[in-house]
Amino acid sequence: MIRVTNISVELGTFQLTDINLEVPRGKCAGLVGKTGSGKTTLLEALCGLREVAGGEIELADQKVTHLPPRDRDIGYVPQDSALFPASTVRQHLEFAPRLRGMSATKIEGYIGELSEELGLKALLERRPFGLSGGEKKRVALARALSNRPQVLFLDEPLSGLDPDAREETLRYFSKIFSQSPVTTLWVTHHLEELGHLPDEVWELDEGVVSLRSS
Amino acid sequence: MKTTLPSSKGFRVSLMGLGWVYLALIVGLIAANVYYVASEVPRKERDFDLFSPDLVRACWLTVMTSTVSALISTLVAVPTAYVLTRFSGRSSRLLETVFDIPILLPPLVVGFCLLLLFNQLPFGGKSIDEWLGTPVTFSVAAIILAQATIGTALAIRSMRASFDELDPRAEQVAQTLGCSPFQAFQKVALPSVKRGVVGAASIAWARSMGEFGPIVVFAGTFRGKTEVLSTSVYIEIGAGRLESAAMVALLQMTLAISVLVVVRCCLTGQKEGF
Repeated sequence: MIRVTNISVELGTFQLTDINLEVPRGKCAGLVGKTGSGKTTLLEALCGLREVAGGEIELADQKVTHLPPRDRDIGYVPQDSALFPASTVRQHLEFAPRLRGMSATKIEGYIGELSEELGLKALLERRPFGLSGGEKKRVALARALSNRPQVLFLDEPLSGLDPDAREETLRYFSKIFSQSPVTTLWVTHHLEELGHLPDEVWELDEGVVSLRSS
Repeated sequence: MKTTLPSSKGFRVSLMGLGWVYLALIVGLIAANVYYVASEVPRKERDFDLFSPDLVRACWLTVMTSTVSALISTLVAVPTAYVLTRFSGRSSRLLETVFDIPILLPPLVVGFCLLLLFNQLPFGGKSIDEWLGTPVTFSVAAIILAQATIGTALAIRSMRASFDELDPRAEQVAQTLGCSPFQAFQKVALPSVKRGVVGAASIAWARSMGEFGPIVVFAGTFRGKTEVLSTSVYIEIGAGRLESAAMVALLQMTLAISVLVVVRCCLTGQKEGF
């Protein structure tokens, strides 16, 4: 579950004030808004990457407003994927499990499962430099899911892809969500990009978030 | 991947313009030295011993001090440049300016200031040298300190450029995956700038190798004690032994170019992996 109560975020002269939002457990919500409306800023605040000036953030029944990102039990897919330049796809998927102290055998099994589901098996030894846009997005999603997060934040995960790659990537995303529903907030400025995935759609317009449809 | 612009050979050659003149100057510098050594050294062979204990020690001391100071410079520069790049603000800009001071000052002045700092500035009635018991001034440690003072400033500049190119979002993602900010630096940022680290270390090494001004003032030019190759050249010129000076200069050039070539090869080799 994601519950945002009256949070305010300041970024220079730009401000988001009294933002309220709620996504029930296991549901996927879309957050749409124009470019520059503050979607990414809000997402970064929810991830703990940006200080909030006030209000409260609750993720999976835990108050996380002042917790660092590593203690929020989240998965985050940024707009540009932000893959680790020096790491192979395998190393991306191993990253979080290793940090959590998972055994090598378990990691191997887990990576096999995750790479199979997201069509990354043939790419495991490749580095970001040689991957296509769609492949990068899938690696970024797999990396976020490898943390077994309670909540998933996606920042325009299909942006910059051609229609075919977008459709293919969306298919993989849909497959993942149908298999293991994780509470998700999917930020985009194209509502149609979300397909049939979202259970509800919120809109961010001029600093106000409102429920558009559910 | 390296991209090549579809341009004519004539265009490229003419655009280099003054670059060709500079290239000719560099080749001329090396050629002059090689020519002088080739023509003069055989004639005065008896006066010059390439394996004299003093020259061998100067050679060893140059390589040793340059390597140690380059290591120190890199160890200081990598975390410092990271902090300056990732936490930019007014204080960060001020710090950047301060870290550039050793590059902006004449090297001789840097050496003179080091001499004053260790030998003259009183801390509780005594200079740093007196506090330490074993004076740093006019010792091998002074050579390393003089080299590292300037080498570190250059390495910081070089590392800043590397970290600037690196998207900080990857480190942010790492934090959402369970990393502390330090782990994100260590596990994500650092491996991504490996080539930058090698580059910064080689810049610091090359600069240390050729350092002269601060070493002369702060460490002195004591034959067999604090003599490095750059000061050897100075001593030999001062004594009127040009053929010896040219030979030592050639030795220094060979060492520097060899290291540069090895580093370049390493960097090119690593490139494919990144």
